Amino acid sequence: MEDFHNGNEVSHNTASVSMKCIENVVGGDDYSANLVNKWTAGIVERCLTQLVKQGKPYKYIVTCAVMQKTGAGLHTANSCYWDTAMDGSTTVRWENRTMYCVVSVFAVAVA
Amino acid sequence: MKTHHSLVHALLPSSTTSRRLPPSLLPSLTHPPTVRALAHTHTLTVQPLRVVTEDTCLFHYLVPAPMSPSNKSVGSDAGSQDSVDGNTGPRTLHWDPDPSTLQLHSDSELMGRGAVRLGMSKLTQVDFLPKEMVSYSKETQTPTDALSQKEEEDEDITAPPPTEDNQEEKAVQDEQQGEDTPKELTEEEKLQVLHSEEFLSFFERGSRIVERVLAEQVDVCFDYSGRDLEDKEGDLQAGAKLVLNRRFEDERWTKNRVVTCLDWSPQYPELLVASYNNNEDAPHEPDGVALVWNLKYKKPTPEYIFHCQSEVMSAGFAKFHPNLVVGGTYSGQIVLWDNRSNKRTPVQRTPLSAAAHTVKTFCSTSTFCQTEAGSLTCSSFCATLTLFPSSLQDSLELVFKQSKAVAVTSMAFPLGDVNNFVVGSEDGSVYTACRHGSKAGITEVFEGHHGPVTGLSCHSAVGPVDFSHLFISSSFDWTVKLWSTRSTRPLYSFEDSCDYVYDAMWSPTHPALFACVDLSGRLDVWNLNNDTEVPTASVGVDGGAALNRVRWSHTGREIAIGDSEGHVHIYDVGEQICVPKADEWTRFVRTLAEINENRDEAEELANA
Repeated sequence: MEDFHNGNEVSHNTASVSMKCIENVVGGDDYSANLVNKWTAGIVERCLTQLVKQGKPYKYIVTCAVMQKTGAGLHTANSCYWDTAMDGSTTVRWENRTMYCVVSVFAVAVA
Repeated sequence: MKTHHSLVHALLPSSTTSRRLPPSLLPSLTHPPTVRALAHTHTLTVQPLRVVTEDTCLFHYLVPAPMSPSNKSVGSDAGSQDSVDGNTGPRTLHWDPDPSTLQLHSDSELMGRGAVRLGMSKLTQVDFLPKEMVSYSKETQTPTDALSQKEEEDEDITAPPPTEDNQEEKAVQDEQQGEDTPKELTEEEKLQVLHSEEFLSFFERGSRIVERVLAEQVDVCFDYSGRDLEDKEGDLQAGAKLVLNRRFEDERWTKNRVVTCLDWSPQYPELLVASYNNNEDAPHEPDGVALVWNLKYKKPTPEYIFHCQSEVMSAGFAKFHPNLVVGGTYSGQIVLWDNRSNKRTPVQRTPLSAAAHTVKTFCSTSTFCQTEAGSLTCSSFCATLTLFPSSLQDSLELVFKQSKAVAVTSMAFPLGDVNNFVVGSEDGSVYTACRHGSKAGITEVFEGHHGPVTGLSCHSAVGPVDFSHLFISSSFDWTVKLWSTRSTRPLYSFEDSCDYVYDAMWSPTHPALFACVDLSGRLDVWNLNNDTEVPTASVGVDGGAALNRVRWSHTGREIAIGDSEGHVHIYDVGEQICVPKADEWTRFVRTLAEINENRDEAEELANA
């Protein structure tokens, strides 16, 4: 799922980038408490490097949350006050049988 | 001145850059923003900014608002650092306090972009809803028990820990399984329960009661007005003499066995014990069987079943104890059964001693147990007294005149006498004997029978006159003889039978009544006050089997007969026969006197 908050095609791009990153890192694995720290770090780093590679004049803020499926509920919300024309954020939700993964990318235009 | 001017200009682009940010955010700026992309748009060389920590606001106030014409001329001179007092003169800053306008102007001048407004972005929400746990009780019992709820909790707790992964689906599955299967007993557990003491006793009791109820055939349609009496002619047998009441037999326990002894219970007039010898067709079944039959209920199966390893030749209810049944066996052992225990085998038995009973026990009786709680058995050559529960054995050798051993076939005790008894032997003689005293052993011999004596009975009817010196004996010589202990010759001989007479017994209530049975299946009831020649009542028992034993019940109203095929027949004796009238005793005295006279006359005739 992707949320667009500006009309900029950067958002499209960002969403697909983060999706790909998640797939690559977590892919077909089951939740493992030993590995989950590695995963979150990996996802964030990959996302960020990919985004920066694009060379756009943006500052990026990437967050990643991995939650085990235990039947508990999780609810988050975020909002930003920025240049609605230039800045945007994307939240990508991904899940498999044993866990959920949420990656948020905030892109703030530079200058 | 020029330097100031250039300074201002030099500072301009950087300040402009910084001016793009809203003033409210400025204080937070500590890092010098890197300016890269802007370099090519400006003619002025871009100099790196110096970190200004506190006076960033100063720039705004220093730089004039370029749009306002009134400020333009003054702007260049505004390089002085005295920023605060803008209103003092033309050199002072004239600035526009509205930050948005500041922005707009600077942007349009330098960046060439569209209007940038800051606004709130839309709210991004991430929701992961909790999985709903479906849990429901599969019990059918109404949940008023706190205990049942607790058990469920325990099951829930034990279910998750085994699952390592804590995976949700697995946990739910385990829970459901825990509630699903009620504990199923294994085969061993089932067998264990079936063989447990409690179950067995409950089962015995329960099945006995159910059998009785099932066998009841109460006629609920009986009409007391007598309308249907034409059909019931057979029942109104007030005049009947001997009526078959019941026949007891059991497919498993009595078939092919011979009834060896009968005895009525002194406590419960409806109970009767019958002992049987072995079943040749069934070698694996126990050899000796004693069954307790119940007259009261219609159930066809015995009340109690006892058995032991060797044939039971005689059995009787222990008079000293309501629950015990005494049996004398072929092997010489005396066995004791207890109907309180669930066991069918004897609870106690005498030791097999070589001396006492080397040959079979022919008869035993516990008639004297009123005083001594023991049983006396006679085997060939030997009479043995066995006492319960002390297990004393007192053996008495029966030798007549120090030379002739007596092969005992039957014995009887006179009523109330525990010391003297009579025995019948194979050679046809009857002996009286003593247990204790100086005359221990054989006392007298009564000769008269020509064949082995099969049964002996001492007169037992209690009444105004004492006839306890009388006894009768039955024998293979087709006769029943009446004796008195006072005379060694028989008083009378009843010769109505045409076959071996197997047993005879005085009625316990009627002084002149006795019954005898013979090989041809006939039951004869003699009333000596009526007729001494012919039996008063006679009936042929169904089946034509040889009748082994006859026993009056203690009430004197019923006769139990055992035959050679394992059947026990109960006959009701008609009232007019068995109930003694008040004058029976006196009449019997006269009868006896007559008999005596006749005998004396006969002797005289014979001698003459």
